[in-house]
Amino acid sequence: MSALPAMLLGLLILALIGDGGFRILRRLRVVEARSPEEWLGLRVLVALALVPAIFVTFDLTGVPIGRVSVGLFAALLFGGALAWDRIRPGNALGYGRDAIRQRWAELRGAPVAIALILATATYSIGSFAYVLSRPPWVYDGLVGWDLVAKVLSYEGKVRSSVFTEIQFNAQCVYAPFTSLNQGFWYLFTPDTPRLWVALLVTGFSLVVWSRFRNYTGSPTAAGLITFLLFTPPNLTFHLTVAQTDMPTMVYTTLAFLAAAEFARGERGILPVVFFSLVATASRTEGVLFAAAITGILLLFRKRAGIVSFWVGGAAALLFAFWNLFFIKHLIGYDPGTYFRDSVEIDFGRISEVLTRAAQIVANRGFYGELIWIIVTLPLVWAIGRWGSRRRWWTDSPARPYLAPLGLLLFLSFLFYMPFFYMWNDQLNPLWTMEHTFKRGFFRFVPVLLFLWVSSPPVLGLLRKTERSSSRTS
Amino acid sequence: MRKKAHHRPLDRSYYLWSLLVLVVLVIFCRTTMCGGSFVDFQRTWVQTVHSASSLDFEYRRQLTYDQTYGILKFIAEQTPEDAVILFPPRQFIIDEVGKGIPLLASPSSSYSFIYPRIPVHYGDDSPHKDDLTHLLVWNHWALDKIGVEPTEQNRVAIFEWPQGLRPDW
Repeated sequence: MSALPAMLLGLLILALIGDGGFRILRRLRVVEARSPEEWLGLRVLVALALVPAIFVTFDLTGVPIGRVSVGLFAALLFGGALAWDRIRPGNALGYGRDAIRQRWAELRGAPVAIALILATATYSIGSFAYVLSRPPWVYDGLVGWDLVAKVLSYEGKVRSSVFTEIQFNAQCVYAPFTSLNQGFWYLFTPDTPRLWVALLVTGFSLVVWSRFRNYTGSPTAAGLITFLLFTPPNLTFHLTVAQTDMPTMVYTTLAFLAAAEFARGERGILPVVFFSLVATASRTEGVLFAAAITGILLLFRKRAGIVSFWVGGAAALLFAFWNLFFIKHLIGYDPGTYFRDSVEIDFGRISEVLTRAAQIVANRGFYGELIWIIVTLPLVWAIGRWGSRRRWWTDSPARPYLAPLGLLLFLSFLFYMPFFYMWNDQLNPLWTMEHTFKRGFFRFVPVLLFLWVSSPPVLGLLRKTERSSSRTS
Repeated sequence: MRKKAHHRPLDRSYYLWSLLVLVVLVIFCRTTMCGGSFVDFQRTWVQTVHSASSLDFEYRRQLTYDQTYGILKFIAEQTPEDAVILFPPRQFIIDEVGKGIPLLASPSSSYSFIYPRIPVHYGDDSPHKDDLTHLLVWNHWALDKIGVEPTEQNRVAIFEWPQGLRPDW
């Protein structure tokens, strides 16, 4: 089959997985599309989240992974979800039928929002252009997940000859999201297996734009956040390569937002559990972020927050399943060798880890001017309250999210640091933290930008660029 | 009694504010690292599309990968699929290339390009070190093991593994 029909077939199968999976997860109150953008974006993100789960299940049950088996499963999933919708119909959309018309009306009175949306769209287009025209080339991928993906497509299994025939690199046993999504595309378009990266960027842009639009009430603010999101040089680079960090950022951000909504009593716990799980399936240290989320939700919801143990518990189960059962027991590789055996309190080392982390975030080559966003964040909110008392601007509708999201970022950062502290000095010396943390910090960027842009003075300025009659809540 | 609809004059000041914010965004793109990153990305993906339209995928691979990619292609062409090939030591390859970790120096990246042939790097505790069928001579490495004089023709060559010879590590 030539490249274009094979790519279309892959997209069709992914669409069936995405739509079928989304319909089922919506029924179970795990995901919810609140706008036309989320209708599409969440289907893409759900499809990418389900591919690793399907492949690992096939592997464990002995079903060969190939175009036919994956296609048949996708058709069954879609058919089953459609039948469920027919038997027990509900509001399939989740948003008003005139939402698209309202959106157009709103954007007609917000020229800066249109410019920012178009600029953000070029990230997506550029990402497609890159992944469709250049072969996979980053070192970590070539010695790790790209190899697992390629051989999976030859042999039809995750536990392939990579793990028995050669002395493989540690990157081969990373959490399965990246390798198995890449494996999906090796089945259809072996020359361009990174198509999922561009799909991920597109789906995420659609969903976060919509979420930030809802939180701020401003399409321009949402546009600015989504545009700025990919401007730090290190993040821009990741639009073009298949690494584990972009998906981790995508699903951790969605988990943070779902957690803030749960903390405020707006939504249930299942979206938090789901997105945390997928983030952990992308990099298993995501379990530390899930633990931080659990802590913050208990703080905010007290007794009602007991259910938040599901967030940390489910991520811990996935962590154990992957690292202990799948990798250590079934494959026979011990990822624990890269970490210290015992916990010893060493203040010098703690200080070194924190200093290195701060230096990496402040490095202009990695994050550009993002450090100024972080430094001025408390200031813009402090000025915000002061200025709104003087009626220079109105208070931000995003203020209720400030405390839960701010605390989530803070505790997540603290919980993330032991991951580096526990590295083995010989196999994983701390100086290599630069390679890992410069990408690991991606997880914090979208929410940091949201908190900065949604502060009263910045949001107040952006709202002046919108026709007042076009604003809707 | 219904109140009369009150028509406020349409506020057009948002045009001016929009213009101001757009100017700020242009300045951001021209003067900051983050803005420059956006502009560079636009430029490079357009260039990538232009160059890609005139090159086939194999040529793009040759441009993307290091010089040892050609050796791996050569191995895949010259050996049967069930070959188990002895490679030079990893450090020897890294030193010879002198930049980064070449594809040839890692069993994982080598396997990716010569699959299903199996690479065994000299000195590695590989699962197939006792099943060698071929020897990769690269930059004359290992010619002494098989008693062949180095020439320009055998700088890169594949030899069958001598029967009865055991790996010496």
